[in-house]
Amino acid sequence: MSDPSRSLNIAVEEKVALLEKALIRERNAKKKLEAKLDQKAQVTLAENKEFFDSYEKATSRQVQLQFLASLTQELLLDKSIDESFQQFSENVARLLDNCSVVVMRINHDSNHAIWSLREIGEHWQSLTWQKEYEAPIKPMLATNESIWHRFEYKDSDKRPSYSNLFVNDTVLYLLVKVSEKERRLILFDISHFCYSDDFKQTLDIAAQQFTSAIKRRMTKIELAYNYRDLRNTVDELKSTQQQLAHSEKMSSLGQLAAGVAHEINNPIGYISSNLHVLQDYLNIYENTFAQLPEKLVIQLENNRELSFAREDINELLNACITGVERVTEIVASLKTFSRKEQDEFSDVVINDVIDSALKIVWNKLKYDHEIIRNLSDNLPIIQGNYGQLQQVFVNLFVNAAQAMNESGELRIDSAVVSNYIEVNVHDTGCGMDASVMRHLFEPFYTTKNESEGTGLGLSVSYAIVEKHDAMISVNSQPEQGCTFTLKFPIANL
Amino acid sequence: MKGAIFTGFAEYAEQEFGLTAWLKALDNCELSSNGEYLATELYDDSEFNIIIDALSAIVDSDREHLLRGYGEHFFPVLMSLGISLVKDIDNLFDFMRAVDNVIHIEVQKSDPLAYTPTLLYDQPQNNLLVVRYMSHRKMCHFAEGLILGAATHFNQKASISQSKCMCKGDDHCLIRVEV
Repeated sequence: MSDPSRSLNIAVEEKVALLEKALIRERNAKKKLEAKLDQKAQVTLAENKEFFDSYEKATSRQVQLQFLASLTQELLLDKSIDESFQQFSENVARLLDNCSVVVMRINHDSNHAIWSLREIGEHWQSLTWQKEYEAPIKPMLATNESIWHRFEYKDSDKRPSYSNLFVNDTVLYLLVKVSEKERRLILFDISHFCYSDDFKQTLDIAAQQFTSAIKRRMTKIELAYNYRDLRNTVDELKSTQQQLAHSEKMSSLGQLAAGVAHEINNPIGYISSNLHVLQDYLNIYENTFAQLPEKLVIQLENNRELSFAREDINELLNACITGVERVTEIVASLKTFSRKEQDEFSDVVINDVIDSALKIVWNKLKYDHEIIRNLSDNLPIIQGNYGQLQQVFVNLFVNAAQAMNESGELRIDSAVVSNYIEVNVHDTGCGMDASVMRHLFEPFYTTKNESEGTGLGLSVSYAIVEKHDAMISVNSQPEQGCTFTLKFPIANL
Repeated sequence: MKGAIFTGFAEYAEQEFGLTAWLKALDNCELSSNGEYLATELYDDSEFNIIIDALSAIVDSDREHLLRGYGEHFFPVLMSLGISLVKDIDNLFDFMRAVDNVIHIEVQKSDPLAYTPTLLYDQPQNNLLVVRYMSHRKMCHFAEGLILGAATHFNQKASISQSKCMCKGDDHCLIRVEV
């Protein structure tokens, strides 16, 4: 650049001073120009600022919403409490620069637990709880739940005893109440908590969402437990009600049977006695008749009506005696059904009882039916009345034989199941429907012809089984056979 | 980088080390802009690094020291701009929280989509503010200078330390300011 001032003989210092002044003027002019440009830019920016701010806010909101949406989705999944904590902690740790995280379970009964995730993507490690952890976390447990808190070691040399779990000097933690007896601490090992307000707000919302989800989950679990308890109670009540109704029914029937037996017993007693006396009288009469003169005998024998009466009287009397004996048997059965007092009990081997009962009914079964005897050896001995128990099994085997008209299979199993000796008597007969099963143990209830059964067999068996503190149940379906199950308690030994 | 940073640095260098030192430093650099800066324009980041290294060599002062000094010098300049976001602020921490927005606006004026540094804050205690600074320009020491300038302006005594620094290879700087 040429400098015409050289010809003016101006001193160098003056020249420099002038140039400096010129520089300042130029600089000021430039500043004014820049200010103008800045003003223009300011106007342009102001026009677009709303758009840019909205864009920035929308971008930031989108990230937050994405995180919260995925968190909500995770929380809606039916995960266990442990899994929910791990998933949430992992998600937040990912946001906090992939920091490591520790979850502590603090129980009222000191059954504490601790899990650690050193690096995102690795597996959670279950660590051994150290007694030394308890003192430093005490102040943390006193903080408000569901809110993020920070703890910073003031003096790096005096790091708390749990500091082996962490690398950095700052711990971000969240206290979550799981139940009245359990709280959990989620601790993030962070080097800083310098995040935007929006980000921190998102974490706050996430913490609230998570604690609400845990609360909901616990309520759900509690409800499920309550529901299960209620169901059990209802089932128990139903069963007890059925048992009570059944016992009541059987007891009423027992009283009724005892009453009937008592009322019938006396007249039957003297009818039976009188019949025998009558038979004796008849013998006296016959003997006297035999001693009559022959002529008179022939004359009397010629009387057809008298002769017929003499022939028929014995038959009639015998039929009456047989009938009365049958009634006496029924009355005796009714007495057995209604009798509550304990009969004489002694050591009984159930398998022996079964075998002896089988022998009694052998003739009924041996030709047309197959008998499978699957009796467990070395069953414990029980206290019982051999004869009565034999009566029960005879009754069951006879019923089975009658249910299997032409052919079939009778299977008898005995085994120890839990605290019982369980005997199953299974036949492949015609089976029965639910309505029959409902009345099965009631006295005089029978599906057989009048001539074939009194309907007392199973009711008497029921009474005998009950006297032995045992249980009898039946499982059957029409045309599917039938299984009677008897359970004799071993505890009674 | 915004031209105002270049022009501001020129003023600082001139004031601190003299016009000739500045001109010589500029003369030693090969710059695509030829050292002709307009405050309202944006220039390549590398030019600032070239200039500061050149000045550092001439005045025998390290880069960190120069940037910190420049930050302190620049604070009154920033306040003199009368930016509405900072003009009513009366304490250091509020200024620090607002400065992020100021930088954003100033850069956006030149180019709404231009890169801006990220400043995030945490105040674990009343007298402690932690700033996370993230910028590929690594101007954390300039930020330190601005904070010191602000502390002087608001008559507050502040001590500054960095537990993490991008200049030392960390992925962000953590500037702890205690008043």
